Amino acid sequence: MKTLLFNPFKKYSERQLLVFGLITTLAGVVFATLTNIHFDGVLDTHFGKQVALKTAALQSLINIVSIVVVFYPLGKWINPKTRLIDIFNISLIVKIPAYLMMPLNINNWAYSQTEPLLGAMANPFNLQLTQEMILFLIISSFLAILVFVWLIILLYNGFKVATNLKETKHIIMFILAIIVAEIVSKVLLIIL
Amino acid sequence: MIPKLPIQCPSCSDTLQVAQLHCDACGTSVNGNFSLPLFLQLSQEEQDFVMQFLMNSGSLKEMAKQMNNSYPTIRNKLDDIIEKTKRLKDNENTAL
Repeated sequence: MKTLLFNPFKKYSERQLLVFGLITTLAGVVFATLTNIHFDGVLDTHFGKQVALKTAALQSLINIVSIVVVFYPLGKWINPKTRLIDIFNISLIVKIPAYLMMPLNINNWAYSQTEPLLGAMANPFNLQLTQEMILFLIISSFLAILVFVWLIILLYNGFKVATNLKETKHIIMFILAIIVAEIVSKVLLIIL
Repeated sequence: MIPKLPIQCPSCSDTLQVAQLHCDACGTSVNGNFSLPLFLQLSQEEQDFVMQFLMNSGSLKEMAKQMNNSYPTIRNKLDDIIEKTKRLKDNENTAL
């Protein structure tokens, strides 16, 4: 179970991971539209009011491309035996934990809670926190941390299996690559 | 139970040498100081892996299926054994 949740790349074949990754990515796009969630960045998840299917699909595609264009060349540099399919599978699988955020925005619940919070940014002392808002903040903060940690673990384990990552300098480059992939995804979102 | 061939000193963890070879048929013993062959200097798990690699005609994909692991996991294991073998060989050459 631990391997399935945190390191499926160690055990499952590239074909199994590809099929599972494609199904979950397509389902993710559909459910992102139904629950109005933006996956606008490799690490990002934001609650929206209305998300079109085209927008959700484009954001998902950008996340996949950003991971592949950053991590594949790095993987090849670390270990020339690194395969594109393994990096592509990582890009499909790593976003799965973020889907845990979806139920929060059913009927735009999370969006309706964040609106007053964002509106009060200019004058935070005037903010009236309701019990519902506090509940939302507790659940969303807990889920956000869980999703982030899980995503990083999956990304690291996937990249470690794909490249036989061992050296400290390569681990540092992996950490930098996460930041670069996030920047690439943001730039692509602005351009496209 | 087939006893495992110890390859490391239980006291200091250095590589063990062969000091005596014995013929069960006639009782002759040969004493000396012989190095273990490279293959035997690998751990039992690594030896089993190399043996399975041989039995599968070098097909890592087939091994991945049999061992219920992904292809890159098996390839990494093989790369690690190759690295270890090279290191052992270098150590042997240096000792000569």
